[in-house]
Amino acid sequence: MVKRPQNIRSLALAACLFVFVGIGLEICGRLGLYSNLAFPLPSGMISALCRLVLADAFIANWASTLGIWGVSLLLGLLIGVTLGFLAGMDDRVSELLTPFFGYFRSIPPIALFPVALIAIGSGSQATGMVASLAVLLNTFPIALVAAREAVLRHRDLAVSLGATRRQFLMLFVAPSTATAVLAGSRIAATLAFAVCVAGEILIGGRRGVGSAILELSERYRLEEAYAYIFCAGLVGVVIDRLFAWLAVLIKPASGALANTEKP
Amino acid sequence: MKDSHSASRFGVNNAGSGGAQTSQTAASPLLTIRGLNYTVPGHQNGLPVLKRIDLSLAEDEILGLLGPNGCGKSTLLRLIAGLAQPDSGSIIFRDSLKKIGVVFQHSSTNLLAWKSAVHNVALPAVIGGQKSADALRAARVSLAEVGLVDLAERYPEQLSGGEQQLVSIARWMANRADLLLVDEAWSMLDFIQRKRVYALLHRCARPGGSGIIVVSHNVSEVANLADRVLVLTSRPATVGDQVVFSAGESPAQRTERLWSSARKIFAL
Repeated sequence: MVKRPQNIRSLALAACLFVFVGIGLEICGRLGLYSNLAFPLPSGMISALCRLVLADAFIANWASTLGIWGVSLLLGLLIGVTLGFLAGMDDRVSELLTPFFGYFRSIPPIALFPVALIAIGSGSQATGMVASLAVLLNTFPIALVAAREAVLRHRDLAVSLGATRRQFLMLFVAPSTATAVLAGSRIAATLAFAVCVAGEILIGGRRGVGSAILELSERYRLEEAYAYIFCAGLVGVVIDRLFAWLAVLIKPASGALANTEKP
Repeated sequence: MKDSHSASRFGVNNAGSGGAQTSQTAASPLLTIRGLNYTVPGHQNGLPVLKRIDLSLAEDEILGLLGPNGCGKSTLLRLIAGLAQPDSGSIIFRDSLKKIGVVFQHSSTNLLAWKSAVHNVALPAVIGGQKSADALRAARVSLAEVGLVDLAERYPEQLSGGEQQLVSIARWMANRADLLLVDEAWSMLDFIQRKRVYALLHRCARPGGSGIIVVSHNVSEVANLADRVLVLTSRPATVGDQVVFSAGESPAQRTERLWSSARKIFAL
């Protein structure tokens, strides 16, 4: 709550810097200091963006990308958090899963695209699978560590209160791990979004933001391609801020101070 | 398994849980412990902590456990609460004993940080399936008894250490336990709050109430609170002496008697 003005200030500063760089690029481009074939003028990008926003294809591409992102994020979080909780609460599950996840976690998500391409073929399903895996591999260790700490911290109290296993999970472990899991989800959400856009460029088929960027750049419609990239960056920031806001919202429910009032 | 770390124990009633814990009927003591031995696993050949511990606790009695740091007082409470399993010996509860309450030494163990004071106090009732509104009403009454009703909606982080300990104690005022195990729960309380807690514990141990075991290493404190005190030796702890107080004894007499017992055992 206290940090909100500071966050707004930092966002405003970032926006100012962005505008400053844009003006600089516009001046440099108009003076011929760099080729507009390599990087279009910011004013051209803005007018292209204005044209794109009104086009049905733009909306359809974003709907497709965000749809894949949402489904893969939900799927990855669901499996990652569930497996992490199971491993955190049971040493046998942890022993079984940790080596597997430890190995796959060291592989960057982009390296999984060829495997997805071979296994599923090109298209949104393959992109979604890799994005889900990225979320899963990112969320599992966070959920595991958080659940393990919660078990160690609250087991005695839960046993002494006669809590059932389900009550222990719902009343003790889940709330205790909420902040850590949400912090992991924040990273996973932005990672999944980046993987979705990259996947659409690499193996994505004919729909989505990534494939639109690829198609526009192949046709040398760089202003529109960069307008898409600019939008993708903006959406990434919005996703990140959304999860940051959720983290602030959930903090009182997971043990941090509900407000700044001191006893 | 001496100390089960798996969650498989959840849902087992404390009374009678664990291999060495059984129950007994009729007008027998609330709790009887015979020949209890416990070794902490993990060390080379284990670290013996408790050796041939015998004790019994009557209904309505406050039993004090006095001993030096690290002698195994808290471990003994954990064994009674079913949080660890003894190597050998028996812990026998009376059949009528349904609920064991534990006030742990550290507030962070007692209280859930994401629940307000009133919800923390109501937790045993909620887990037991009581209606939330009833549980919260009882919790507020209990918080009023310890003088914290104005802080009922505060989270543990917003309370001082002493207030957190009072909330932990209030939990078992609202949810009456047949056997209450109190582990150094007033280390952060000021003298006014301590007086209040002693009075509350005495009220809990009135006829028809709870049996209470309190752990302390403060001689005068335990002498003035308990009806009977077991003086434990250094690790591995055995019962070195038993001091039984009579109702007519003054606080100074009680303290002096307990000191003389402690001096004898620890050659002070």
